[in-house]
Amino acid sequence: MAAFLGGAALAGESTGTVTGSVPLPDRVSTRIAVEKYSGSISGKVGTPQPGVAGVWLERPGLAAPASPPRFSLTQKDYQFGRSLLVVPRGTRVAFPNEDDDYHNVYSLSKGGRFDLGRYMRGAAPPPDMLFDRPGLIRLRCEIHEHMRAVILVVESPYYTVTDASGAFRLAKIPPGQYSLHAQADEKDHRIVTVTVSAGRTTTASFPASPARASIR
Amino acid sequence: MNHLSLALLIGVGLVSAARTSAQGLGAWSSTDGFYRLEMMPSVQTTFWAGDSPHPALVDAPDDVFLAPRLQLETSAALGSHLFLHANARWDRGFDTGNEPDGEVRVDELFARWRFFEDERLSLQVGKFPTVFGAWVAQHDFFDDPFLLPPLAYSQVIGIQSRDATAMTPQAMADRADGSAPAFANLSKQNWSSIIWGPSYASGLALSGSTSRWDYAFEVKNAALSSHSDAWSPQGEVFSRPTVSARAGFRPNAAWAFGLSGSHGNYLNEAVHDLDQTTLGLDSRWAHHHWMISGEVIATRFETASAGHLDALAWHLQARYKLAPGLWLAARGGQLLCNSSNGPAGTPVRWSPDVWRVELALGWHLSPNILLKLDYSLTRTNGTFPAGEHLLGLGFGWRL
Repeated sequence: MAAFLGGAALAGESTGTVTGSVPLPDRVSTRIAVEKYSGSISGKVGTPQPGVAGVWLERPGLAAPASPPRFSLTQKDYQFGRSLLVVPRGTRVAFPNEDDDYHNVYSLSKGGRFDLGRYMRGAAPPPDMLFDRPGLIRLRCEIHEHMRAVILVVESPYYTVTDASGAFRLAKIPPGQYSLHAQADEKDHRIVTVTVSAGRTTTASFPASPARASIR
Repeated sequence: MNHLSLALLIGVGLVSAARTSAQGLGAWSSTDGFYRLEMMPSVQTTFWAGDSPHPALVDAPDDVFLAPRLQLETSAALGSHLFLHANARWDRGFDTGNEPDGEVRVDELFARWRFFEDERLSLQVGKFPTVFGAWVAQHDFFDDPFLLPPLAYSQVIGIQSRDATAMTPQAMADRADGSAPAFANLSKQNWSSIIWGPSYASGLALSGSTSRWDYAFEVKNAALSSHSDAWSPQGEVFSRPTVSARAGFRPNAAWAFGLSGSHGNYLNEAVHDLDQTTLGLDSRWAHHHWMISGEVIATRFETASAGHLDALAWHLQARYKLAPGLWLAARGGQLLCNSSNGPAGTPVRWSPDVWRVELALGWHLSPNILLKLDYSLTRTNGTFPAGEHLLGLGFGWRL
């Protein structure tokens, strides 16, 4: 259950770092990328991006930045460029198409229903969407059933995505106590409590099961 | 495998896939991803209400009819070159209503070998939809905006594929003047459509795609017009095969054009060698929330004594997405038939001209749940009685 293991102090620094590892779901998250009938895929289908989890910090009074950066999630080789993207609330995400065929990104997730329609490579500016409600948004392509991705919209300026092994690192975090969230999908949301100290690296670990847990 | 065993297999598959869905997508994969297996169960149920005899391939005995369908699609991939697919269904007949007590079928079962890492060339063997035309590629419940196939794929015409005596000039004249029952009042199983639905006949196909071109060639055991009973690989499967081909061109992502052709024996009698020859032209334009497409299909049936029976069908359809998950679609089309040689050499209408307009509304409650409402008005010329109004409410769920 412990999530805080502490770390070495770094003299003179006013922020801390949180590192750790998230147990990633052991499941197949993509479909076989072969079309049953011809007509919608004309090129080579790329390898789907590995499953990862989003990680972010929350605490009372902490909000997403007023001017969040712009994000881009490409579609190339009939795959989304990332399997999961974490963005702060209020972010506008562009969806450029880099294939010769149409793509049609859409989501029917609660709090994030949208449909960009069909657009081709080079559409300028690329279609985009504003994500202004925290939550998990499942993305699909209407034309290519196997294409899947997730956008996690978070109420926090401190967020990142794990690597394929589940490892993550959040740097330049002001000292204090936070809820550290890790989420891979709707059914796998883990939360632990961590304390960040100036000049120190906090190593957090999540419980093996997605059930809520708190430490310290 | 008898029906009970297959039904049990579908049931077990549905339950296990639904249980697996709690952990994933009904999908399994080896650690290195070389072996992959997916089971996708779905439910597609349509409530039909309209005039009897119903238009299209709806063969329900009553004005209102519930047509449930349980479907289990299984796909497997071994590496990046070998792909297997099966589609088992339980429903009240491939043509709605012709098996009121229900039946289990395997409508698709094929293996595909992809020669390259991309889609340039594949060889496919088994039982699968025809490569002819454009509608077949979107005939799945979740892809087709409508509940009925277009006229060319669903409207019964005066071609008998099982009994040559029904194709004599006298028999056609009797049906045309009402002295014999019109075919629309008989079981639709005895008659043909230009293309019978997606035509899941058995055979092999070579197909491929590049960034601009699609191409496919198939050899199958039944003509496009053949009823579903002729699709399974039984008996003299390739004694009189049907060959079909399609070439498609996409100048850009928005536009697509296709040209299809097919030729093969349509009469399931050993003593006759009568062919159906079909040509098709299709086009599609799509942009943002619009998709507009159309097809023209012309076919010729040889007969022993009534000359050539020609039919031409066209349709034009449009779909517009009103909001995320909500779309409206409309389609109009005609089926036109020539006259055959009558008993005294006078022209006889061997099949009526038909036109149909349809309106459909679709609503995706979620990516896995779809409601469809479809109204069609079908007008049949001449002395061939047929129902005009048909309303369908469809519900689809998939894993």
